[in-house]
Amino acid sequence: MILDSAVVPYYGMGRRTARDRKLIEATVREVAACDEFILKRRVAAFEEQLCRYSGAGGAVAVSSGTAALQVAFAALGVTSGSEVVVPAFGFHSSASAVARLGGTPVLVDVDPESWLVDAERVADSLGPRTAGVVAVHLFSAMADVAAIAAAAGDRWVLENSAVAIGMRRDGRMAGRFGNLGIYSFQPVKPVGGTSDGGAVVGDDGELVTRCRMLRNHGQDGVHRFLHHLVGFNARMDEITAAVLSHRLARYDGEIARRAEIAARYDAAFADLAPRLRVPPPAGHERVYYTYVVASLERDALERHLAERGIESKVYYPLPLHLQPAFRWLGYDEGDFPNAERASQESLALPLYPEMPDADVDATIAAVLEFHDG
Amino acid sequence: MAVPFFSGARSFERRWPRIRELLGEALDSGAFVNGRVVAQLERALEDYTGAAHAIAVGSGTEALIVALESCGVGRGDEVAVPVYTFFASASSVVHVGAKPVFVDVLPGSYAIDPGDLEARVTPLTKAVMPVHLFSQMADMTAVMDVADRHALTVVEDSAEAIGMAFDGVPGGRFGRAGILSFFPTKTLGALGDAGMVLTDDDEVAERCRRLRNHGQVPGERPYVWDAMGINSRMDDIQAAVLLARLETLDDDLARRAELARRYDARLADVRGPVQTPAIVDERATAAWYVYLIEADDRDRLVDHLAANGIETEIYYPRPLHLQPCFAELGYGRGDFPVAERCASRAVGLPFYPDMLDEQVDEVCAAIASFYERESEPAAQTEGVL
Repeated sequence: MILDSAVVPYYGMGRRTARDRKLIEATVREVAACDEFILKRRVAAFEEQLCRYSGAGGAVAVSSGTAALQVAFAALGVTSGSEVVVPAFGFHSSASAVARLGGTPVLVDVDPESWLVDAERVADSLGPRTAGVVAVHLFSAMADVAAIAAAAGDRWVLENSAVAIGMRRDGRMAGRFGNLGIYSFQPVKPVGGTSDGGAVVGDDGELVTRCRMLRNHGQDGVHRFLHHLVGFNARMDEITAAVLSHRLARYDGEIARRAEIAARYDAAFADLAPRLRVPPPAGHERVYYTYVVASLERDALERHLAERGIESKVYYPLPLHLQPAFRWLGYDEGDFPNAERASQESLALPLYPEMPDADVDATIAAVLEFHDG
Repeated sequence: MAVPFFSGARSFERRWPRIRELLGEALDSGAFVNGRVVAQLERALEDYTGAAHAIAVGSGTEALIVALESCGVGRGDEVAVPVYTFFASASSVVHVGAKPVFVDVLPGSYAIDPGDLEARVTPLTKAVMPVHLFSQMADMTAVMDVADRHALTVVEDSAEAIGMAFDGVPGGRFGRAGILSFFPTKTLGALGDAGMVLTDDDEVAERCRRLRNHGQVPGERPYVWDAMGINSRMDDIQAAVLLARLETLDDDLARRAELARRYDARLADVRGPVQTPAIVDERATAAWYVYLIEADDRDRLVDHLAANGIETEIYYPRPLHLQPCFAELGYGRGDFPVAERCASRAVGLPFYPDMLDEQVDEVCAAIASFYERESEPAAQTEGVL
């Protein structure tokens, strides 16, 4: 049964779920039958699979991408007084997770074309109290983390690769460039669970071990109820892990279908610049979590699509420095002009592997119609 | 025959048709977190507990974090927490930026000692977190009295308290906020982590709903964040399991009480230093989540049971003031004598509605055999000499 209510749904969760319905039901029943619920063999197997897939030395499955950031920042030692450089354009968790540990996010503007943070801007934002840098990948493209790490010197770099599993730059997977990287397995993500989920990956055994303890109340996995660290409850459950294993195994095939849809959008919209700009060259092969265009008439285009039953998304309507949650940082409008422009122009179009060609056609037609008018 | 510490497989299978139906609703909706089944569970728990608001979150630990923060507890505040409890009672305080101040517990109820609470309140104490453990609630009349006199906010760690009451008021309903944990072994247990905040306070509820979902104001524009929230959303699969199990919770509670009586009766015959649990206050309504005994030579008893295939769980081997992660709070051995004594003597026996009467008998027989064996070596030694 498909209950996606829009004519052209954005995520197509009805279609995506219908495909795995039997698997999900069977998994729930199996997990219940064996009385193994949290951080057991299915989670361990998924972690191993994730190491093989990403090439990471260690993977720690957690309860969400946001929890992965919390765990990673705590493992890296963010505490009261730590300053952490965070790009001004992106999801809030990169900054919130720092602040929740008592640290201060120091925001930095992004590149005007890619909307990604870059090495030069990071270098300019470093100060004596800078503990580390968050490099954030967005939509379908990777920041150049190798260059950012070089600019950061002996400070750590946390790679927020929440959306970037499967993306590679110079043959190396996103999440593998920073001291730690994170992935999100939110249900709507390309590798999505049946609940929120995430992972921290890294090669530094000691850091990975700290993450492992921090996700489960600071326990070492051997001595129950002995708490070495003031850890979190950020555990992945067995149902989620089993479903994720299944979906990660078929992910590469889905990447190809995602690219196919993106290529159709690219070709159809190539001539709409400057009113609408398709994603620019990224310096690596894009992997499409979302297909995001830059539109000079974004709000009108969004309305135009909505009127035709075509769902689109605005990532993100406000840059971090203008979000109510971060007013306390003391920034003003105009402080990060590229991030502000990105927030005004960004529009994500429907894209998911099960998306019917007819829906792609309808979306293309509606976008073209808007620009003909 | 091995006796696991916990199993819910048999009753799950019995309830599968109903669980499957609810699971189907979740799958049909395509919404996997904070979806329609989660909303149904929230309404059902409002009905069950009488709370004006039940706000579903990812775990009991996160329920405490969200509840404390929504009640305005934060940096610079102290929160009084019993020292004999699960770690989350104190870690949640640290995670909102506040400082836990430990309070000793009373023997028998294992709950916060109101006299010691009074003694440890300082001008910085903003809140107190009574915890209801195992089978019975803290003396909430006394706790509320201390809280009123010192203007403390009460946030109840009622993670284990579903079905418990004090003076007829359910666990979680005394404080400005209370919480429930649905960890799989709990009285109402999911197949993964899940939790709930309970409150009658509209403002607290509203803040909880933001904080659990990134600081996003419900119904407002997505990706505009009003607070530095966390991601603590319950998933609809867990909600489906919980909703189905809530429908039979009263039967489960009755079966738990029956098992507790059986343990009581069988252990009364054991000739050994075993103390069975007792409900210490006539105002307390029991709900048997854990059947916790105290025993001399506890660690060797646990080893003996394990050797006989019987799993146990030590709640809790180390009080919070002796945890390495709280070393900097500056407490030392001897600071909380009741808690330290409990930690050396207490052990939870296998206990769950699916448990068979014969399994209870088997556990009790194994306990009896341990103490019989204990009394033998001296005699044998004598014989040899």
